[in-house]
Amino acid sequence: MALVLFANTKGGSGKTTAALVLAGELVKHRAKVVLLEGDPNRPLMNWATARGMSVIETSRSRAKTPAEAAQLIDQAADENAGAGEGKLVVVHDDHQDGVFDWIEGAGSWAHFVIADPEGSPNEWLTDVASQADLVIIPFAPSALDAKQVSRTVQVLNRVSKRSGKSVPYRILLTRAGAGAVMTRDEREIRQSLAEHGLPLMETTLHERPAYRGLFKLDKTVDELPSAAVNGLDAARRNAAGYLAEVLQTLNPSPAKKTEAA
Amino acid sequence: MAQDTFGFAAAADDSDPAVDLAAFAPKPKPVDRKAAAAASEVAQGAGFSRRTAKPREPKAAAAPVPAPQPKGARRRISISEAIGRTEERYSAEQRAQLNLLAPLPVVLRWRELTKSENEPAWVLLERAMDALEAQGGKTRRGQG
Repeated sequence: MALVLFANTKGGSGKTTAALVLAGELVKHRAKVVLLEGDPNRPLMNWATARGMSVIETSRSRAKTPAEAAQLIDQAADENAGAGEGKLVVVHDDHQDGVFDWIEGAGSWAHFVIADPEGSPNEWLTDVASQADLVIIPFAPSALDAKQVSRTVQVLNRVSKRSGKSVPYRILLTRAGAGAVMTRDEREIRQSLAEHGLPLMETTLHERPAYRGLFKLDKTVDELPSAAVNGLDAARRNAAGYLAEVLQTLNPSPAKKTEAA
Repeated sequence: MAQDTFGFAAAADDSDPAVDLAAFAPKPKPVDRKAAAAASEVAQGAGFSRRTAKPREPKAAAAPVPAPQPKGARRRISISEAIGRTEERYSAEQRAQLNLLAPLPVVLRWRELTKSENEPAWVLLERAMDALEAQGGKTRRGQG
């Protein structure tokens, strides 16, 4: 099981969209995914509820142990299987108290746990980061967002140094224009990241109607109707490339390519 | 059939390549407590906020509940309440809330009736139902 955290101490950086695109792509490839939400605004829980999925909300279902968490996840997966959603479980827990139990408990069911914290400096983010196999730091190409990337990276580096455990991270540019011409801000930010040796992902999640449509239509990229969304093919290629890069980062030397049963 | 020397035929294949999930097979992921403690120290040092659930207040030991004071000196004592007759018929666990939306005259009539009978509302309802059943299902509709 791999734990991927989307982290940025600033809101509006594209964390939730990036998390949902990744989850949708993984489920499309038959991976079992737990979306662990730490954002009190509950965008993922609302998305799942609108689809009629059974979700786990910890104010109602607090797990006291990893075994209890695993049981609740199994239950939700079974309930969702009836509605054809058996590969995805959304857990909302915006308190620190139970987050480790959910991570441990999800391990017995899921291939991936994708964690989406609140866009603020909060300990939920650092707690999950300490256990993550990969931290993705999304940011929009603006000076304001770029400065928050530095802050997030600093915190991750301190956690690494103090614990003696590496916290691998990648920086993901989101909400950039999909056109051929790059804005001056974007060019300067890319250049500065390279100069400082900060690992920017090759894939950019561009500003696309398809990504906005995820929350408008409560779908994954794969499920979006082509009639209702412009540029869907380009978005699907973009999402596929993004998934491939995340998997390559998590597991640099994949052996034989097979799908899970 | 033309030879595909440069492999261009593959360009038409837009099916997604399979994803290797073997490396991500579900297995228990024990929490690294040392890393968690380090993360907590760093977060506190950086002034990150901590959000924890409010601890549930333990229920107080079953203290004797004082009997409700009568609202007025003229309140009559209900014999059935005093001897527990109405309470014995059904256990407390078998209760459920019943809310009714009714025309105002009916509500006022109901209140007056419960007040004059000095019985719990559900007892009156049960008596009314008993009476209806005794009539063999014949009911008198409201006038007006």
